[in-house]
Amino acid sequence: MKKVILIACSVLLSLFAIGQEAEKIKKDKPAEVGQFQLGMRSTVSLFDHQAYPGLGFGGQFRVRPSKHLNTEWYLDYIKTDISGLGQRETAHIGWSVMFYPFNAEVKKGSFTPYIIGGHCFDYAKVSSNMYVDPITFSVAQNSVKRWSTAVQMGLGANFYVSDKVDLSFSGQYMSHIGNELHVNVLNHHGEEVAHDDNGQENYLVVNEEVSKVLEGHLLLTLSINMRIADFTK
Amino acid sequence: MKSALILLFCVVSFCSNAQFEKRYVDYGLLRFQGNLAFGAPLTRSATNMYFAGDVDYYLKGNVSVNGGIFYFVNEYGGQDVFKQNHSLFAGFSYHFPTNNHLDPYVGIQPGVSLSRLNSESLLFIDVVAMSSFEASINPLFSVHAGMNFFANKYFNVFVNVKYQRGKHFSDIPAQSIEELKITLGLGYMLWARKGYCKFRKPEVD
Repeated sequence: MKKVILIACSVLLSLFAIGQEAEKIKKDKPAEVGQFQLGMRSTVSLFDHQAYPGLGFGGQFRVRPSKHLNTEWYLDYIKTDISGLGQRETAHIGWSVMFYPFNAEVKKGSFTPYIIGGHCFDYAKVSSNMYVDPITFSVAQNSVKRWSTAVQMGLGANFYVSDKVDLSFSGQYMSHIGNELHVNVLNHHGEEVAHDDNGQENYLVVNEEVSKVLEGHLLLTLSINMRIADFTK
Repeated sequence: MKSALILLFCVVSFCSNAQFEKRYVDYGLLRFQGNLAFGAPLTRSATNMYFAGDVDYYLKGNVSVNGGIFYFVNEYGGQDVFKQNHSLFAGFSYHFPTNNHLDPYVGIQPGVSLSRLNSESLLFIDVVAMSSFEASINPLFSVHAGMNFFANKYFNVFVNVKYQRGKHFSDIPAQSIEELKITLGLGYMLWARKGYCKFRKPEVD
């Protein structure tokens, strides 16, 4: 009986001590921890292997686990014009970790640079425009789609326009781990020509190739984020 | 475009005479409007007309979050390129501090368009048999600037100029939807703070 009382007392004391510690942590917790932000983004995709720029839009939310660490969960939809002969649609759904090595204060006027890196799932579809097939003389179109994964890393910065709203700009290089969607520009004889060839009857042929190198591109993202909740309050 | 600029000048001149001691704009202000808007495509000669509506909610620190919609009505003086050219935006504005009822601002709004080419346009006479002329959703990027004048506790007069960039994609060559859009007219507002939702501005913060 004494043993049981002793154990019960020690458990109660431990719980009390843990409670005290938790209270202390809560009091010392930086204001940034637990913040939840919701935002919109515009993304420009540059320097893919065919060098066509694309424009995208999307959204993200951010959950901040510590003062110098933030997480971003995002969705992007990008469309790229391929030389006026076709288009590439890309959707990214993924997450990133943001590390603030210097200033990490959340207040109006703060400038907080960060290192960002993460992972995403990537859907891509490349379609040619309608064209007249030089062999069959019929109207044709071809498209290829694929899912892949990708990793991305880069640098960025937040600028707090108010205590609740920040404007973020980041540049990340994204490498795709998957097959490459390759496009060839053909002329009206069905012969391959340069991508910048402006032949009137040129058309696009799309195919999926096993990639020997990591296909990648640079993503420049401008986003607006608003703090809407604090999970620790 | 010229007449809009003249009107903007008149509004600014009129408003600059109305000096007040205290800034009217504050957090909790909910401003909304529904008006006609006009667009000037930057890659071809035409004028687009839209039904436009937007909502703007003011936060602390001279910032507001906002969203807007442009419903395409018709194109005038051009080649009737689009049958549909609607767009939806969401973003934020920074409001420059003033000491009166004027409210100049600038902002950024990412967005999307729902657009569809007009198969009857002379521009597509060569490709009319090749395309299905389907509607598509396309990313947009926009920046805007404007001015509100809060005339009384119910109404405001405003002018907003928006530059948008994007392309309409389909199964024929992409068409630019780069455009300068101007909206002006009468807006409405009320004050919506925690536990307070009235036309009258709350007296205590």
